[in-house]
Amino acid sequence: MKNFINLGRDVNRLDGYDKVSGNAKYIADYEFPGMLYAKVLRSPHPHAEIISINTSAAEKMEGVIAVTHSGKCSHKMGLYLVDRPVFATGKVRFKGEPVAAVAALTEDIAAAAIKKIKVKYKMLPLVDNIEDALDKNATLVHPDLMKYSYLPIYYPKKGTNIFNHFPLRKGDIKKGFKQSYKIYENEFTLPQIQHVPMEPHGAIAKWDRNDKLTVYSSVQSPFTLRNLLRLAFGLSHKDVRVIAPYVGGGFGGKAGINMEPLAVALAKEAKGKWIKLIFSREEVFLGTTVRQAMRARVKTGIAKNGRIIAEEIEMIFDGGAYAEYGTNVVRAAGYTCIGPYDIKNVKGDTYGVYTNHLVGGAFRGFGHGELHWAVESQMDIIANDLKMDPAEFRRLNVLKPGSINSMGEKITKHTGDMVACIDAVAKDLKWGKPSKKPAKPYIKRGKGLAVLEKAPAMPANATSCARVKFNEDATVIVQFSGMEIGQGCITALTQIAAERLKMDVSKLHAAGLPDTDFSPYEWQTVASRITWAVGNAIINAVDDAHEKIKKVASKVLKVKASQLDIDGEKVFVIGNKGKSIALPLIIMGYQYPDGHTIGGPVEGVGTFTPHLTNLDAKTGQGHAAAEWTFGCEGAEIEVDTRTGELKILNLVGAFDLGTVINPSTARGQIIGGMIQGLGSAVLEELKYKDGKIANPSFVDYKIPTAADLPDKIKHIFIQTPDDGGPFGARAIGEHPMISIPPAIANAIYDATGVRIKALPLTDEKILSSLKEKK
Amino acid sequence: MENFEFISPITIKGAVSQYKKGANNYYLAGGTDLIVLMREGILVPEKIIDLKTAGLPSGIKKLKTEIRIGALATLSEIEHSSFIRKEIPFLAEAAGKLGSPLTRNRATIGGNLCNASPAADTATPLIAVGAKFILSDGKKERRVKAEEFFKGVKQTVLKKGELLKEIVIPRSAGKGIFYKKSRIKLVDLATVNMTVYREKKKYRIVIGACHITPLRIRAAEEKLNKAKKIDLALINETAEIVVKTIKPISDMRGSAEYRKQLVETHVARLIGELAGVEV
Amino acid sequence: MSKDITLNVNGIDHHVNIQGNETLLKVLRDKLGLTAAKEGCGAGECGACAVIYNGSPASSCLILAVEAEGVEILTLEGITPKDHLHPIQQAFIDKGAVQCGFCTPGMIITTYSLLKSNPDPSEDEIKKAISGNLCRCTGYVQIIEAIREAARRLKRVKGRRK
Repeated sequence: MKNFINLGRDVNRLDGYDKVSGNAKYIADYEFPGMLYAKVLRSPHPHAEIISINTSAAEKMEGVIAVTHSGKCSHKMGLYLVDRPVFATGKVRFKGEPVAAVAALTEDIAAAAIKKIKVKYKMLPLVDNIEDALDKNATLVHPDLMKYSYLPIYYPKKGTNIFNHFPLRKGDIKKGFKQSYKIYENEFTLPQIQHVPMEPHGAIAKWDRNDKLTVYSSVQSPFTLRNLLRLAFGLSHKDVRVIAPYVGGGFGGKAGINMEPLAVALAKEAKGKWIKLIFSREEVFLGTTVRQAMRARVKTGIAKNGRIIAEEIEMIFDGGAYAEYGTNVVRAAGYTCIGPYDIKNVKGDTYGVYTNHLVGGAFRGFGHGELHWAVESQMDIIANDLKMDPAEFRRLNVLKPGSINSMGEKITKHTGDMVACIDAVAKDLKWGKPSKKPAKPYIKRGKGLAVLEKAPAMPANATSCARVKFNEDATVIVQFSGMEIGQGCITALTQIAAERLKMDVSKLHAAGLPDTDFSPYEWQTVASRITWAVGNAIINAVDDAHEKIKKVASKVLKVKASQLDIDGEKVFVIGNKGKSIALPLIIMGYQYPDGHTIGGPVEGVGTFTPHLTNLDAKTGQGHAAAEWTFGCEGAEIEVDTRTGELKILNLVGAFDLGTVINPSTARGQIIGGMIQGLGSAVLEELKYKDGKIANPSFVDYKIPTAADLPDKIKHIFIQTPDDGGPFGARAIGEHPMISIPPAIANAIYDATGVRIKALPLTDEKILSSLKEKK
Repeated sequence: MENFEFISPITIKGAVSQYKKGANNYYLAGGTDLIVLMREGILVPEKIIDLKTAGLPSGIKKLKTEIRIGALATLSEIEHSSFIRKEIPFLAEAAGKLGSPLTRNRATIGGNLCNASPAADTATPLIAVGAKFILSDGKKERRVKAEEFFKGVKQTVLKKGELLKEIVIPRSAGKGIFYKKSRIKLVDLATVNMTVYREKKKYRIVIGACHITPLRIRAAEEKLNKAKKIDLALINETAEIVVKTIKPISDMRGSAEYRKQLVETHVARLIGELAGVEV
Repeated sequence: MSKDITLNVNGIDHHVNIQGNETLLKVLRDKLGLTAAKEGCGAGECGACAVIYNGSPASSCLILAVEAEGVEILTLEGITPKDHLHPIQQAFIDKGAVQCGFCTPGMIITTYSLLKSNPDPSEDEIKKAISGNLCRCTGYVQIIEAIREAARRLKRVKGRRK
């Protein structure tokens, strides 16, 4: 490990003061004079034709300023597939879909006005699950699918509910199965779940009479929001300004475009007025996005020596009523479909289908929590059947330097060390040794582990920009538009800038909350890519600033720029430190004794775009992964076999995240992700009744509290530097959530011999599975 | 939330007469349920009558033969009361398992009982310990046994305008255990809850969230009370009687079948613990 | 119904006109400009709106403003000293207990109250005390560590005063 001055140490969060003092402003905290307040009317039905909308009574109410619906605002939106109307148009496709909206002088008036809007519906057949959607005679949720615009890297199927099919073909699957000594086939499912950011979504919009639009939003991706708003509303980028305050958690739920167009549609009707729309918690459940439900069938062929030689995997995602962002979840899960394994012959088919459920979208893990649930349960089934140690079975089969992954990329020693992750988890769990004997005979203990991999899922042209600006006293302001959504990017990116500047981080200030009029471009804060991608852009920005300083200094010191170096305090001649200029004397231009000044304020600009390719349409082969993070997660649990009660004794996760920039914030990401993973493993599920969501509140959608923590929880850093990452760092944001569910399911099997193939692993399900086994 | 008239009566009589003036008036105690229902538009009251100013008893009093808990005592007060913890620890336990600490600092025992949820956490310990409720209509008072207070889901013996004023618990040397199963460890509604209580070798068994009201299972109690010796077989038979008596429903928190299995196992464990029998 | 009332918040009497149906949270945020308390659910399930009410932490979304007349109310703004941070706040920063920050004001309010009544809480007592404050980012571990650290620091401050 190199000697870093700012990296690998717990620099306190730079947003810490704002957040512990109440100083930090979130979207709901903003108030502007003359502001109007908005409320949304939502569909009570999951699938129905809209016969008529009558808003006259609402419009007549005192204090109501604007009412809008599809008759006035017929715009569509979508990041990858433009299929989602701002307001339900012609029909409603899920319970909770926005039908109309009102802006009024107060929230109470807006709420009362909403109730006066009369909508007539005619029921349509319900597409209530994946089976309904794929039925030969299925009702089409989007009969006009092929008329929608979409990026050419997605493959909707005409005349079906399939909005994307991602095929992956590698080697010769038939031959692989023919050569197999044993073949295993299993099916696994998981339900929709919600992100549950503690901050509900909100937006504040003003549409001026000169057609300039300003939007404040709880947004992960201000520039992508700007782009999608201008596409939806037919404006130029220069006329749309998005300002992002602190965001109270995103987890993918505030990526792309969400509820902002509702506020913008009202702003267009009430020009010159600020429109404030803050979702209630129920609306967060109904009206944002969710993680898609999934059904996977995995068929695996094993050679006599325990090597996997063939795998066929079919994953079907319930994308809900609109696919827009979720289209890419299908693609990302599709190209990683076999997980971090070295398998010669692969056939993968990943589908996304429309249903009348909540809209699926980006969610921490982006298809990988889903695929690893299937794959890592399957691997455990195989290892146990082969009477091989499940850790050893994985060591034998996982990707190693020299392996070729699912889409044909070659793994090198810089990609990361999967085996080291497995070893670390095995050691912590005292793998191979039986658990301590429980106090009662009916309590059973067991251990399980599961590996994972993920690369940032993004289009090949996802790009980043950063700036460093020197101040008069040679302190530095760093500008970027990676959003601070809690993950600590402001702090980590400032550490990276300081490291490259060879300055202590205390000399830097991060202007980390973006305003698209002033901030450098950033594609999106998603895919665990910010530290990695923006970190690289920042390094380039510092180098650019340094070049500019050297250019002026070379004139002053009369040497070539290449003979100069900068140490954070001065620019000096290499080999002759005495011949130097202190930075404050040069970063605003260098002034000769006679007053003549050369140069000017030093600002460095850096960009970064990963080198990726589109994937082959028929085989899914190509290069879509900018970098991989490997990991392994393990659990030790006990089950009360009389009640099904599950107790988590120990959770451990080891991740090869390359160089750790900030151990404290990295740990926060890992532990937080593992506990979110725990929620998805044992608790969380959006439940439907007659196609309507039945638990849109914290009363019946439970997430873990502090009292639900495992007895022990541990994170382990494996640090194989990534040769493409800033100072060797790679992504860690999403990964800790991914393989907690299979690790726990595998531990339950170890303890009880019961294999549960459907999430969540509730006590009730464990008990009924135990009864079935008897 | 729709607007309403807010009344702060200074006597119980005043509160009751205000309540009776309309068909859509509601009493406010801790507000932790009422305000949620109002916010969701499920309740749209004309008048909210604040009981906190109406002279209802609020504290916990230790008398010679009984303990009195004012209807306005918060669940936190009960949870942390040193002599409730000493004399009726299973009631303190039940109070401490209701909602979150933030909720318990506001929510009152009167509110929890008058809401008459089948899963009300404080109901099973009070029924088990033989508590009586003092009800007042502003003029007269009457006493009802805790087990006779609940009539159905959200239904009690309270007449229009009548209030729960105070809870009277006989002081005794009995021992009880409260058990609650919920989806997460704390801050959740009960999938099932129960109290098993033993006093002078007589048992009381009360199960919550498995019927339209919290339910005392007398047939099961009889089985134990008649027995000369309590052993594992008898406990299991008793648990079977309990399971046969309850009529749980399937809902978001668990299926009827799961509730039955939970009750069967846990009621046996509780009896076993009180009887000193390994279950 | 609308009414003029006096709310005592952070030691200052505020005269405000309120509607009967306004919650304490709404009045604190919209009328007094005290926005540290957040609305995370509006139903008393998440703890983001916690304030110290009459000496104990409570969800201000489940208190009507009209009920709050004559009650001492303390918000995060009132806990924060004039020219530095409270030891709890500093411990939250030092221990990495903050991520998105939305639950942080409520967490600190609950911690403040816990450490007043129990200066040396066990890990289980801490978990129980903050069980009504949901956090989706941290997994709670660093929050619990921060609370233990705050307890240590507050004891040291007390020790010095003696």
